[in-house]
Amino acid sequence: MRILYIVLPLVCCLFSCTKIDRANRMLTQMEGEWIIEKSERWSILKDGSTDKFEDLTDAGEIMISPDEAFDLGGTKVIDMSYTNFQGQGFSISTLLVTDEDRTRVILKNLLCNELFECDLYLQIEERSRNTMVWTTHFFVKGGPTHYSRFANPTEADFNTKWTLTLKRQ
Amino acid sequence: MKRLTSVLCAMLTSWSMSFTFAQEVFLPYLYADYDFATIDASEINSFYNSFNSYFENSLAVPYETLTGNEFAHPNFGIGIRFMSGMDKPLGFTSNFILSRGQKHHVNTATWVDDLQHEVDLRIRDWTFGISVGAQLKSILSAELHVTGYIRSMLLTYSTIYQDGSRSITPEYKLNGLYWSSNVELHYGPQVSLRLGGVALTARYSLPINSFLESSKYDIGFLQTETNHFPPTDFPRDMQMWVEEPIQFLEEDNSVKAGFFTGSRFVIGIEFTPFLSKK
Repeated sequence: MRILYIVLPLVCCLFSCTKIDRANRMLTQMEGEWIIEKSERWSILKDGSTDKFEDLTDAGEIMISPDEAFDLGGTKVIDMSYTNFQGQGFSISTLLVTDEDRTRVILKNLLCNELFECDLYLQIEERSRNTMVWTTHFFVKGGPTHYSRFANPTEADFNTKWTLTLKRQ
Repeated sequence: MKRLTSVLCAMLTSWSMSFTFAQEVFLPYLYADYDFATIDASEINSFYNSFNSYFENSLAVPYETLTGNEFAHPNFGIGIRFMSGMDKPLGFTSNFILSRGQKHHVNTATWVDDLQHEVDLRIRDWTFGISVGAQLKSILSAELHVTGYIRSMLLTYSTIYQDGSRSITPEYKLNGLYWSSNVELHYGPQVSLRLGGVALTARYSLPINSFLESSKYDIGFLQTETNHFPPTDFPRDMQMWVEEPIQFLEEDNSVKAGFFTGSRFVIGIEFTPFLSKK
């Protein structure tokens, strides 16, 4: 009977230590080829109304594959090509990670090549085997679109929301 | 689901192993309690106060400050009680419990343009408790307990836009998930009243860590997957965080997990569905 005093806490501790593994498993389940089935962008105005200024289908492709260079289990390689409603696009190959709560995916150094403030965060709104919906927000101040710089939202002229709907190929 | 299965397996194992020696008995039981847990709210309030003061002219509704009683919560778990000397007026009893509970508290500030910022602070407690004491006619017992708490805390800072969409991506720099944890050791008295297969318990506890003032400042609330320059810690002083980030780092001015502890009063119930034969 005394063994229970030791076994019960140990069993519970072991199961509570699986958080990191769940994050890794989620990234592994994302591996494969995806098409950006929809790319939608809205302006969110201060009165609560929205103005949809991008509504694209087949806006690009995403390939998520194992990170063979630094495969510690927590990173994948994402190759992404995307073209927006103005015909401007980008094609990148960078690292993909997630947070411990598996609520966001993070594209490392997507925005620039500096050491800081260059990652793009996408909130996972929906995730199933064959569909994912990722969303991120920006703010617009004095014309340009900004990301990850200010603490006071009233400094923004307005905000924008970008939603990507991905389908597995 | 995996956790639930493991707990149920452990319970079934312990019941199948329950046994009685003459006047000694092991009683595995299901356990539930309500923990009137308190925290030292001064730490998180320093963030709320500094935020309200720094953005005073831009806020329509500032953050409310906490009283420290917001994190009272129920716990559920299992335990096993050993009782000896049951044929005598005065006997010996000891007890082990394992339980888990959580609570979250939401605090919202509204800016003048109706955009909102929200702090959702979630606390999860694993409780491991051992007590020893004397029992009177196997009905009433008075014990001393030592209880360990592993407390994990997740602070989610999000922006709610005017159209209702919610964001935890860092277009506003404070948005994100901040993790921290705290290991506490408590001690104190416990009494229980047993009526057949049910025992009502009450215990009061004080944190032993509170005597070690320096340990309070060891662990902050951190974002592990961000690369803001500086800093990534959740700030205690908003003005310093925005205007003097280097000084913020030098002074390690983040909210510290060691303050999220305090005295606890717990009322619980031990329920033994299949009481062992005497």
